[in-house]
Formats: sequence, C-alpha cells, structure tokens
Amino acid sequence: MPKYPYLNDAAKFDAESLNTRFDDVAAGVNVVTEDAIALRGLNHLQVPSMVGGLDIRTDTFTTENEELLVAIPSQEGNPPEISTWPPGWTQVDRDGYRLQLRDGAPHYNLDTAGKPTALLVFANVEVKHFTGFELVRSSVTSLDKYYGITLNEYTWEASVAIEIEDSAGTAEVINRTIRQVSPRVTIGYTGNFNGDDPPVASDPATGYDGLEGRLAMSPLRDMSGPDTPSSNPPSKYQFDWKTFQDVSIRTVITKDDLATLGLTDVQHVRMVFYSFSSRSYKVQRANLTVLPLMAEVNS
Amino acid sequence: MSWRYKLYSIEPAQVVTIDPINENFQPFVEELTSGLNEHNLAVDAFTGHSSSPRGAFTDDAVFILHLSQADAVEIGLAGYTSASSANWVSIAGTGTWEAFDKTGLRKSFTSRGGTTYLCASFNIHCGKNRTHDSVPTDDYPTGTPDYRQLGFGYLVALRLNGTVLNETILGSGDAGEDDFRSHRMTAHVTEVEDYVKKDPLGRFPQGGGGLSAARLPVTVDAVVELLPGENLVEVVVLNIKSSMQTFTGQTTYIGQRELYVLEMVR
Repeated sequence: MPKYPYLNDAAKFDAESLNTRFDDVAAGVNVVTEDAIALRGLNHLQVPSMVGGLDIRTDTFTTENEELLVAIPSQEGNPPEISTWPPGWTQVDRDGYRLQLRDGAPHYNLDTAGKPTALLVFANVEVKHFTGFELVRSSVTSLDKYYGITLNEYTWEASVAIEIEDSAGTAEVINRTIRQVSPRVTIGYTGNFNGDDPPVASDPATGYDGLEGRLAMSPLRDMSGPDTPSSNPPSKYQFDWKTFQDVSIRTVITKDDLATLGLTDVQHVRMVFYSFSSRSYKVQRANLTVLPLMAEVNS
Repeated sequence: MSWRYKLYSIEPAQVVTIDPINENFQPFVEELTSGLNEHNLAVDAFTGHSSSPRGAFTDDAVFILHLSQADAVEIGLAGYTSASSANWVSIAGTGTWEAFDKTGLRKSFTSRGGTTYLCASFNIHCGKNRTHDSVPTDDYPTGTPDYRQLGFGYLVALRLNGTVLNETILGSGDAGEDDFRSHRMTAHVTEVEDYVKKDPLGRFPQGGGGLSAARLPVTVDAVVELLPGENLVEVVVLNIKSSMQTFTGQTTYIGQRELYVLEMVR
C-alpha cells in the first residue's frame, strides 16, 4: 500500500522529493497486493472459475434419472434390468446413468495447460432387487414344511463401475471403481444343514414340483403365508428378497487413467453394470456428476 | 471507485507549485489503497491469455489433488480365491480402529493449508463366495456348510493426523440392544442334529447397527480446514466386537479402493 508524503504549503521540493513520490506510487502499481483490491472488487469477468469444462455454456456435468424409472408407492416405475446376456458390462442408455461431457471437439485430454486436468466423479445408484431367484423346500423330511429361496448374500452380487469413452468411440472400465454389493437379506439357519446345495428339482411324484435341497443362507420370511400342507407352498415373494442398496462411487480421472486405458480423451462417462457371479438384477435411482477441475495432480 | 485521472495538467513554462502536485498524486495513491476493482482491470486481463480463460493461471492456482489410487487390485471374484495375490487388504478381528498401510487407504501429503475435501471410496468383502465347501461327508453329501451369520458390522471413518473425524463415522453398533448370536450360525456347529436345538432365529434377530454385508461399497468423506505442512489421511475400520469374520473365522477384506484429497487453497 503506497504512502504519499504530502507536500506542505511553503515546503521546498526538488527533483529528489518528487522522484521519491513517483517511486512510491510506482511501487504500489508494480506489486498490486491484496489490500489494494476493493472488497468484492473482482468478479468472474476477471477471475475464471477453476471448476468447469472446456465450454461451460454448452458442456454438461450432471445427470439424474427421470422420475418414471423409480418405483414409488404412487407409481410402478420402470427400473432398468441388468441381464446376464449378452456377457460383459451393461450400459444403461438413460439419464442418470450416462453423461456426454461435450458434443464436439475439443474433448477432455486432461493434459493441456489452462484446461481441466482432472475429472471428479460422483456416482450413486440404487440396486433395487435381484431377479431369477427361486423357491426352495428343505429336503429334510422332518423339515419339509420349511421353505427358503435361492437368493443369498454370499454367492449373489451386483457390480457397478465407471466407464469412460473417448471421442474415437473406445470405451474402457476403470477397474478401481468396480464396486460389488450383495443382496440385503436377513438370513436364517433353518434348513441350512442337509440336502443338495445348490438345490435340485424335486421328484414330481411327491406332489411338489419346485426346487428342493438345503436352504443355504436363505432369507427369512417376512410375510406370513401357507406352508402346510407341503403341496401348498409359500410364494417366493414372501421372503426378504428386496435389496434397495445404494452403491456410491467416487473417483478422480486423470491423464494417467487415459494413458493406462489407451484412450485419447474423455467424451462420455457412464455407470456400467455386471455380475461376476452371473446374476440379474434391477437398478433404479441414479445420478452421475462429473466435475472438471483445473488442478495440480499429485499421485 | 474506478479509474482516475489527474486533476491538473501542468503546462509548459508554468511555475510549479505544491498544490497541483499533491492533488495529482493523491487520487492514484487512494486508488491503490483498497480502491482497485473490476474497472481497473481489462476484461480479458487474465481470461484472454492464450485463448484460454485459465491460461494465465498455473494448475495449482486454486485446486491441488493428492491421489492414492489402488489400480493393481484384481477384479471380479479373484480375491475370494487368493486375497493376497488379488491385492486385497485384510481387516483384522481386533475390535479397535485399524488403519492400513496400503495404497488407496492412506495418503501422506504436504498441504498449503485451508479448506480441503477428503474422500475415500472402497469395497468391503466378507465370506468366500460360496455357501459350502467341496468336500462331501456323510452328514453333508454336497459339502460342509460354509457360511456364517454376519456380525455387528463395521464402523468406517477417516482419520486425520491421528484423530478419527467423528463426522465421518458410518455405522453405529449397539451391543445393548442387538442380540449377537453369531456362533449359532458358524460352521463350528457341526452336528446335524444341532438345528433342532436352536431357537428360531426370528426370535433372536442378529447383527448390529454397523455396516454389514457380504459385499459392501462404502464412501466416507469430509471437508476440513487443514494446517499448512505435512498431513496424513487414513481410512480406518472398526470391526465391532471382532464379529465380522468369514465362516472360518478368517479376516475380512477391502478390495477395490481409492482415497483422494482435494485442497481448495484459494
């Protein structure tokens, strides 16, 4: 902050005293310090945000699924089902699950001075429930009134990951973002000891044409219903078969990821789905946010 | 206040006096004393550099990222076969806060200080990805049951410079309310007839308020004010009452994992 020694009336002044005053002002201009700036004196016209994309007017950074995907008491919803066929990671081409950062060039190569160097990814999705589970009757004669379902939390899993696709159309999964979730079930031990595991088809001659065997890690029933006589089994939906588990993924994508995956840039970011144990399941609520940051990256 | 101009123009041959000198100097001095604002700077003074709005700034002008990303972890079910070769990290059954000296769960870094976002995202694994082993016996023709009712669960948190950040703790665990009977569900119950001695499980709900699942994705994060200098951020896990074990009493694991620190230095 320059100080100006005021020249009093009748004071003598000469070249040196004037130069001193010029120098003080020049010093203040040459090094503009924080206290030279008025409070809130600068705005976005002078100081750009380090959060944002290559073109904040057109780039998209967040997406959430449309309401109709979600099952709520007042609507059935239409949650996407992740099938075991075709094999491989499954994309869901709906809002909330995929994000196109830019339509045209330039794209995010995360290695250009003055441009974003990292993509901060926030992804959440709810695994609603698994499908394809079946009713099982205990194969122990004395326990044949006990039933379970094949769903269990040890051998059933849903996997979610972040996939990026470059402007050439090559898509790769970032392996460190793979998250596995098991069915949220309450497990009983009844009928958990004898019989085939996994269960096998029963003899139709017994009057029961479902699966029979161990009720390994089978969920407890959470709704009452018929279980006797054995020819009048309960419904599999009377068991604790729903999951409603949130899967959250957080990651930072950098130029090192692009190099490792052999990608040139990032045009699309997606949540993709799979099951390493070949289970099918449904997902619903989802949101995906990608924040481009201009940041120093220290690995 | 904005741009200024000198009050007086000193003309050729004019006898210079004190007043115009003072008054010409004074506006500029005042302007440099907390008076500069957007009107003193060209609209593109910074943003017009090199055709990039951020071209005049270095990468660390606002944000500094410190990453600890475990990219060498096997994917899929490989860790259930060999946790060590899959680079999974074991969670001990110690019942106390446990930290891990592994990539993705720990980051030491030098901070400039200021508002900082800490975040860890990882996957916990229990079990063996099976419900029975492959050895048939008379009692278990399809293999001995290999399962265990999960226990009270885990508490998961971030620890900063040795202090667990309370606001990051996930899970609770209430041993006073929850009836933990895990031993009734283990493979140690080897007698087939044992099942007739057990109380119906529905009468004794098991587990606790901690995070509990065979496969569990977890995210913990916090925004803190960091002091300048060396800092250490760790993921810590508390295995409540050491109850979270696999069916054979083995440790459980953390698989895919990532920890990062985002300094927001300005």
